[in-house]
Amino acid sequence: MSSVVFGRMLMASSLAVHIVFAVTGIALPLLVSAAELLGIVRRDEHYTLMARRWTRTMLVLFAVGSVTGTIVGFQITLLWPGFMALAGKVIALPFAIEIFPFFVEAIFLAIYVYGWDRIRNRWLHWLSSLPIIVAAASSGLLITIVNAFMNSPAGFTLKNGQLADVDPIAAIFNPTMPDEIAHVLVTAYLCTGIALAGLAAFGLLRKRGSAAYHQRALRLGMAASAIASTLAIFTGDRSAKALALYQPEKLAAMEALFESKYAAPLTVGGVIDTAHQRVIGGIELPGLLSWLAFGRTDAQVRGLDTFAQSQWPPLLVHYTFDAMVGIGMWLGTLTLGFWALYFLRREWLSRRAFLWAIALSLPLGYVAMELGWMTTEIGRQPWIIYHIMTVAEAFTSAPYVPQLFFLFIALYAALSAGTVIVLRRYFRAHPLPEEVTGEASKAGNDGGLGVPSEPDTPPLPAPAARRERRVPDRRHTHRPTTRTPRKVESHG
Amino acid sequence: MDSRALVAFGLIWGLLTIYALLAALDFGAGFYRWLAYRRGRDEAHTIADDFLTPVWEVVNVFLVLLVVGTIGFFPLSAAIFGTSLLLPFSLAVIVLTVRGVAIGFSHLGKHPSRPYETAIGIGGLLAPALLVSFVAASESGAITFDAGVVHVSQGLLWFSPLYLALALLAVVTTTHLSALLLYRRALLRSAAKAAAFYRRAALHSGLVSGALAMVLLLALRWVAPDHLSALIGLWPLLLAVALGWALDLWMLTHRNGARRGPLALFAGLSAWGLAIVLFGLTRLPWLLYGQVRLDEALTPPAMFTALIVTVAIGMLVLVPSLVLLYMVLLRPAEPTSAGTSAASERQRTRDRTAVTAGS
Ligand code: HDD
Ligand code: HEM
Ligand code: HEM
Repeated sequence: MSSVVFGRMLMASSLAVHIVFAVTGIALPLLVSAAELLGIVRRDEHYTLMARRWTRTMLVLFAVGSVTGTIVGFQITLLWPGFMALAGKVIALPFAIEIFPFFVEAIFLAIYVYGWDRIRNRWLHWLSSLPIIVAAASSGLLITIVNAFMNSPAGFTLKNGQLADVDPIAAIFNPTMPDEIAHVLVTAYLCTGIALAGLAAFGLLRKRGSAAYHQRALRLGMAASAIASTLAIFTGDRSAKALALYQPEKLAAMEALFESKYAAPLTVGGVIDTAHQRVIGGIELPGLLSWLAFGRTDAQVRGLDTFAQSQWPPLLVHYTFDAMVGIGMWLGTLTLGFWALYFLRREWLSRRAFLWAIALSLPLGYVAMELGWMTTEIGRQPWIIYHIMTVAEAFTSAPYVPQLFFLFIALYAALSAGTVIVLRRYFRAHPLPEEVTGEASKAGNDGGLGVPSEPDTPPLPAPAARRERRVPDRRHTHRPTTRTPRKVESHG
Repeated sequence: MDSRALVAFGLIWGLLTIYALLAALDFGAGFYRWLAYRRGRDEAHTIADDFLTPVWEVVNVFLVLLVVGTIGFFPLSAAIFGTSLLLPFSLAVIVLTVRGVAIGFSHLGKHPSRPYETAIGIGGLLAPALLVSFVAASESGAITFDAGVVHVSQGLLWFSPLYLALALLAVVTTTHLSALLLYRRALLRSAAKAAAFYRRAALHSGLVSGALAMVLLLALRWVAPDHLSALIGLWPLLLAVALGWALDLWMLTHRNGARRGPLALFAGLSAWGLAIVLFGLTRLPWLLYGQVRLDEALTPPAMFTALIVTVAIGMLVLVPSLVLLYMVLLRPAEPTSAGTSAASERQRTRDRTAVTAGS
């Protein structure tokens, strides 16, 4: 395997890991803020406790999100210097602007998390969550603008290989930008919403902790997911229409359309037989692809035959696209079905079958999101900037990329497993109380932030005593180099 | 030299100086948190942890700002340094990740646990050593750039005397500046044992960093003599740096630390800040020493203006937020009177222990 392929896989895996934390980092602040607000307005301790426990998760996810983001930030320059040398001249603005939402996010997150007990006024504390919502969303969208630029470059002209009349603003407002940022933002809320709803469903099925708490979490998650899934389908459809205009070969590959056709059918699923350029066993819906692409069932859609085979994107994107759309349709039916039943036949909602359907859908948002990114990135191959620069041209000439690939894969495996283990262990050590009493809303309740007076541990005495409590623990952890702290400070 | 290139270099090197000082405090605090843990000094451990936890992510964003700024203003540097520094910067970013995750995860457990503390401590030493490869490589001759093709000699990259001297100096200065800061914060909390611990560390690391600065000048003479002569040309400012360094150490030797602590910190930060600025000024007009000038690598005028406007507007958002962060979280209890500061200190220790202990 050539070094370029290792480079692509390394970039792909870095982004695939980062995006899970990034997407949750975009959506979770809004859900936490909503929970806190409901807790204040309805004086309902369940919501306050929910906000505090989700805050703890948000803290960990943001820490991992920011370090994995930093990896991606470095790698985009280290692996693709050719791309960044050009991008630096044309599309550096979103990278530069993005820094300030990063600052606001990091700063207000610290204030929000460590402010739970330092800011007495609950409304004031809730207000400090608003900048996080705006900053997290805008940092995600700004970087997605760079991706849209890669898919539909604008804001410069190439005169015999030299960059001319650079217009940074036009580069930001490139053709596919609006549809892509809409689809990315909306699907971010869908991934997180359905995941939280799934967790709540598990809580109800396993009867772990207060049912009233899980029901509220379920409703909050499903409310977000219902809105987000309908918008995901709408914005996804618009993205497809944009593709027909600006990246026809990607759409052709996604639909495995080998010859240009009028009233082109939408082929769902099926196995691609590239040798004979046909799809075996796919469900053909006549005219639907033309309608999807141009809004008219009789419109002509360009097939792969109009492009040189060397420039065909890998046809894998047919499967990733169909799977993403399939999940999108399923999540749409599940969430809208939930609210239909909520208003028409609420008793069905507590049926175990329905709860299992939601519980098992927990990871589907993230799966669809990964599939979506694979569709758009692998679908852009062999270009890194569409029709301007190929991936191979942009790739670094430096050695050791394959070795680094395996090193990073090990890091990501440890990181993902570590995050899951640590969060599970934390929430097992702080189980949800059976009965959420009034205590949750007071600063005293642990809920998630490890504030002193948790019922089962005595309130902490003055610091001096605290030192004794801690030192013995370390002594019996059989550390060979245990050095008892010097009692007398020679020249303190 | 094209004035735009000068402005861009001024911004980037100013940012690099700020980042270098902040990172020294951040990485150093992580190192002392580990050292205090190994020596069973809880007070020192808590003081280091209190500073580190809300600060490390903000400092991390400064690093990203530095990388994005450099590539924004000098896109050619992506091609030159992106290609040549793949190894050191990939390792640096792995170290930063393991360290960051360790800090994030460590607050979920009941007590400080060895793997996390070690990752935070050793990460704090490795990161500066790896990150300075950017400054050293641009001068040590490790990188050659002719007709758009970049060649890098790994031997020179890692074993040039300039890099080794710079890496050692960076690590020791990191431990020195952070010891000064933690000494001051320990004094403000009237934590006598911790203050003594950090004062001794600051004194020792201060002396060693002075010696290593001399070694760096020697390495410069060997690797980039004209850079050294440019530095010598600004001897009055070099003298100022040496005086600041001496003042910093002299303050530390005084028994009554309360009044001297803040002065030592101020002297130390300004001495080393000025040293970094001088090192940058005397590099002009080169991006890659002797090969690529700054104005050759400058971004087109349209992007230059757009970046300047962005940075200006960004500062309007950033500065108030940083002040707010300091007011809400980082302002150590002022020693107004023993009673109140002790009480609020006890309250904060209960918060801190609770957060670290995760009760
Ligand atoms: C659609 C969402 C999204 C996507 C596609 C990306 N990111 Fe990201 N990134 C975020 C959404 C995000 C975020 C939500 O803004 C994060 C996650 C957690 C956080 O603190 O900010 C973040 C953090 C983050 C950070 C650390 C900032 C900090 O310390 O807070 C950097 C440097 C990057 N990202 C850079 C990138 C690059 C270079 C990408 C592509 C090549 C990229 N991200 C893809
Ligand atoms: C939004 C900002 C993004 C930018 C600027 C970006 C940039 C890049 C770059 C420079 C490459 C390497 C060149 C190439 O293969 O085309 C790449 C490849 C890739 N990225 Fe993205 N990416 C972004 C988002 C994502 C996300 C969130 C994912 C999540 C899975 C992703 C998945 C991939 C994959 C799978 C590849 C490999 C494609 C291939 O080489 O076959 N991308 N991306
Ligand atoms: C249900 C109907 C859906 C349709 C018709 C649809 C359509 C599309 C299309 C055409 C693209 C490629 C856009 C481009 O390459 O520029 C895309 C990308 C993407 N999709 Fe979907 N999608 C749907 C559902 C979903 C769902 C449910 C998710 C995740 C929860 C999702 C997440 C993504 C992501 C993250 C991308 C990559 C970013 C981008 O290029 O916009 N999509 N989608």
